[in-house]
Amino acid sequence: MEELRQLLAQHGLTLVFLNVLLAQLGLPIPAMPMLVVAGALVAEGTLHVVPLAIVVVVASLLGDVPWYLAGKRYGYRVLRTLCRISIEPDSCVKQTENIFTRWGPPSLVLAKYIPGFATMAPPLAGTMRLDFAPFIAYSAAAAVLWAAAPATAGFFFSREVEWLLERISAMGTGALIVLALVIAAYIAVKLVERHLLIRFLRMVRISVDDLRHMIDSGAHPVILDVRSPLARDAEPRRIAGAVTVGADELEAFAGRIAPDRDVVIYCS
Amino acid sequence: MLMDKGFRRVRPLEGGVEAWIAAGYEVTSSIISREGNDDERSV
Repeated sequence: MEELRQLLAQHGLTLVFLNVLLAQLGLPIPAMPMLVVAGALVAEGTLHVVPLAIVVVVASLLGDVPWYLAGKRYGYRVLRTLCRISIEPDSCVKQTENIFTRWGPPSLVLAKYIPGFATMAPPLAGTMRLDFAPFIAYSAAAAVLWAAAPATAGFFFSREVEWLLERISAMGTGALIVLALVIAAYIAVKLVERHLLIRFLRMVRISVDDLRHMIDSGAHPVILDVRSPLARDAEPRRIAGAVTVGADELEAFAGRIAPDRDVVIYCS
Repeated sequence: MLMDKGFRRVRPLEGGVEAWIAAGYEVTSSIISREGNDDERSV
């Protein structure tokens, strides 16, 4: 236990910095456990709260600023590229835009609590030409609030955290192996779930070639362009014959077409 | 929403308009004319 305590005392801030930075860059590494431990170390006087807060903010900004600058320089393409690696690219772009459009720049503060949005928010802020100063202010506030909850929990439950660290220390290498196996199993389950979902979505979706074939065969599908105004600004062209419908107009529009028609919809 | 309205043959387009353009299929663009009317042109 003493060795582990010394390791955390000597390199605690470095570990927090690396953990937060990698998590903010989008890697699937949880930062919460480390922040809980950091809060416990503050409670026992091993770490100090101000350096901890500075490290969290700096690491978080180093993860966010490159994405913001990329969004500012390359615009909507960055968002589309990021969303391409998500399970549902269309809804990913749409949901991200909706959140930012609804809440504006303060949504950056909420971003870290919304799965998927955390990585998308900085490039979207750049795409929407949010000035650098408010971006930094909102992102820094977001980082502090995001880290405060687990660190505070660790602070008030420092005895329990210490007990857990003692158990892990007593288990030695065995604990690391068990931890690695649990993480590997978690990632494997997520990959299988993702694979099954993607296969299902591919069955439901229609490819551009199949849509072309449908049009050529005289099926006359109703093609709806439900992209956001931001997306239409980025790419003003639309599929020939497609009808542009805003999300709030979709219900009214649905009343004007027969329910037995083929409907093809795109939102990115 | 469309499914809730009774539409049973609703399918999202894989890749969106970007994939459609990349495949070289016909697109149109709306341009606001001087009179303020939508002027739709094939591209």
